[in-house]
Amino acid sequence: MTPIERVRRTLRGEPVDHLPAQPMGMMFSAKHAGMTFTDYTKDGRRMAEAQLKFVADYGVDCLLTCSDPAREVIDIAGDGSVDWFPDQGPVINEERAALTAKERLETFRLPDPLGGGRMHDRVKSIELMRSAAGPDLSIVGWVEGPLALAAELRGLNNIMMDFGDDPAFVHRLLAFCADVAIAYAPAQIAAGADTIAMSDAAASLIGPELYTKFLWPEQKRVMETLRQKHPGVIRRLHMCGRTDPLLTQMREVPVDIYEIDFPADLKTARERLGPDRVIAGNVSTVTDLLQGTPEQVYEACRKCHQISGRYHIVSAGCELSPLTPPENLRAMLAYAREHQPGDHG
Amino acid sequence: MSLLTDLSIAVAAGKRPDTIRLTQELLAGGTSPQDVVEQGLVPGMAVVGEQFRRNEIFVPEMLVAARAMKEALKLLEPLLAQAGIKPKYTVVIGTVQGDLHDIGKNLVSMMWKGANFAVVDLGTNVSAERYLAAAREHNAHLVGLSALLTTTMPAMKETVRLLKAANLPNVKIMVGGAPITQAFADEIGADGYSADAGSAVSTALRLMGEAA
Repeated sequence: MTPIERVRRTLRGEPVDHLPAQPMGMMFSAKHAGMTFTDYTKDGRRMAEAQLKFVADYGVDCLLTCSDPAREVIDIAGDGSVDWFPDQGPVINEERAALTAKERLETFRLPDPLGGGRMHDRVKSIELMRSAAGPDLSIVGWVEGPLALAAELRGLNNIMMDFGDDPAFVHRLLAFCADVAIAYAPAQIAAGADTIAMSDAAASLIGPELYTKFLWPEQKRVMETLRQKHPGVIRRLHMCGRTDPLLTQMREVPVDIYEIDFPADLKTARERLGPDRVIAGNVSTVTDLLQGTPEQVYEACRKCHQISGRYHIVSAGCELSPLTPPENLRAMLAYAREHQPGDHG
Repeated sequence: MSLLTDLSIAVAAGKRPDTIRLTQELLAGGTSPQDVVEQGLVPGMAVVGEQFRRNEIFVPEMLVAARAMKEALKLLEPLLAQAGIKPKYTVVIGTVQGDLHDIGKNLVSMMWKGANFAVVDLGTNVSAERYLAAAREHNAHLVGLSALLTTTMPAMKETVRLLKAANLPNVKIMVGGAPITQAFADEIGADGYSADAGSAVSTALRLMGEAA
């Protein structure tokens, strides 16, 4: 069974040879390939090289192109708000945020994902990955969730205040950011991505009221557009942090895979998402994978599987730390290889 | 209800104009600036911390409340300084070297200000040496270290090591951030750990030897 078949059959609840495993390895894979994370993020060829090595050496079921909101930020607004640090991804400097002056939003145009910028670099990376990996591996393309991108354009502290101070601006900004995601996904699909993940990193900072009023309609619009225009593409949603208060609403976002972060309670996630939604996660990237032992990671995988049931993908709650001991990651992948979806009792 | 209670409610709800108006009315009516802080603003921010801890409010609501408090403090601080009244405790806070994330650090900073601590905010990407220099310069009672990234946890460890090695008298160290746990705090020798901004005040007060 190929990795992509394994994932698709898991989504349909059909028998598979073993559980899929899709931990998110970005900095980890760069380190594993012996390159700096700066090189990884600046050059799609290096990202493809690192991801292919990561997948080949560890037996992960997918190649991931996530998550780097500065791709969109730079293509939309230039690099004036972005700082680069050694061996790290680009970081937005809030004091120089692109939308320090909110009026600038009216001047923004949708970026061209094939226009030779950093968004295009990810598209080219996906082409390289597909060409090297062939049709059997899943390739996860990536778009930023509306609030994740909005926070990078406006500044996280600023956008949090804007909800109360200027709700009309927040609506406009989130709608623009959703449009960016809708424009970016097809280019990645055409390049070879079979899955589109959307990460909305800051979403768990707002409560259910603001989520329902502002963000949820835009997340739904992105995923519903994808569902209609690319019905064969797998849709995946990642929201960092403790999302428990948002899960009931998240259930209505039309996605195939809910990636649940480790601060969230997995039992609550299963109850609120229902029995047949696929949950990826939520082994702790800190206490289990970074600080634990292989036995502890294996047991954590068992516990997540037990709670999630058969609709489950073995994964960490969020991105793997580059400092994760390799034997801990191998324990996670061993759990996946040694268990079928129904072995959760 | 007293005006002080009204002020607490206005701060907790993040009502900036009401907070300013009530502060002005209290001062005009003869309430001391210290009482306005301790009996009006501090209880209001304590409510905010508790609501945040119980997931009844979230980051936007907390930031708005903190902004209302700051506006009131702008009126009060010159009067407090004039009267020679200083907060009982001084804290130095920052995000550790290599880490530019500041929302968690900002929330804790606001909660500590709301508990009437003097807060020296060093910002983000703060080296161990800068923490130490600031702790010395301001005679800090407490140093707070924040980290969001697992990759900057070693910088937190190094900062704690340097601060401990300096043997500053009566300085406690408190750590927090998404990847930080009580076990990690214990391992690196921090004196305290707070899982969220809502409980950062009670942890700090406990470290100062006060019942929270």
